[in-house]
Amino acid sequence: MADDQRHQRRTGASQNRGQSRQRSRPSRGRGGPDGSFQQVMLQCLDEASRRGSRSAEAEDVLLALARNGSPETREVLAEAGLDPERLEQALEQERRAALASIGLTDPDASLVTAAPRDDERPLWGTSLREAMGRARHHLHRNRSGLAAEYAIIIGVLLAGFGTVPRALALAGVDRDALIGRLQRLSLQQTGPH
Amino acid sequence: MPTEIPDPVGGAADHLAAVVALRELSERLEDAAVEEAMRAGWSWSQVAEALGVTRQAVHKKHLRRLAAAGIELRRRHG
Repeated sequence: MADDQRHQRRTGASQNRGQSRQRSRPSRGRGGPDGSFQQVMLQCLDEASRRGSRSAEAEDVLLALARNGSPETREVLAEAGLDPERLEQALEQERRAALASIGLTDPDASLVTAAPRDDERPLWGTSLREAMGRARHHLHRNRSGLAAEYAIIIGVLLAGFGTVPRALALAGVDRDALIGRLQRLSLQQTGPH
Repeated sequence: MPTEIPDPVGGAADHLAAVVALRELSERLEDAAVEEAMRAGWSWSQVAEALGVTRQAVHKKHLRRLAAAGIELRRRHG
């Protein structure tokens, strides 16, 4: 692995919140595992690793979908102002605002740059578990890949507090409008029931 | 009287978010500082004492990462 990759950590960008002590494993939904669901979760863990985080949180699955989701999902997110670049900026803005609220700024990058944990799989953080729990309520019988992605995003967006709602609020993203749109698109995927 | 839902931004929400950000920064600072110390020839015991934790705890948390990075690590007796 190239040195720049081994030492790649966006300054302060990794999120390590509410680490779960339990081993990370993709959860199984009712009726057995859903391939699309598991694939998204693996991408989520990759996202957390890429950012140097020890735990995968709700924002990581959002990033994973913004980057690697289906074209339809990526388009919906981009139209809401959540393409990968703007989502990363929003998360960064949130983190800096949080530190600024107590009079702090980022330390010099050299103070927080370290060898990565390449061989350690990120744990499922609390916010991710809770988002997936909410997502399951929106997963219908027909768990097509696209419907699963929409449900996951809805699960993430329904958080009332924490990093994602803060980042979206600070970036001026209309969370309610996006949730509504995703719910309508989900119905189109699954049909009336 | 209906319970008012706090805003996720501002006031206490900002300060709670600061706790989260500091928690993350603390982890990253530790990773970098431990690596810096080991590169400078510190022993595991010395690093552990400086951090106020056991040598075993430091080993568990950092040994694999630093070994994989090819950092020369002092043996026991240090």
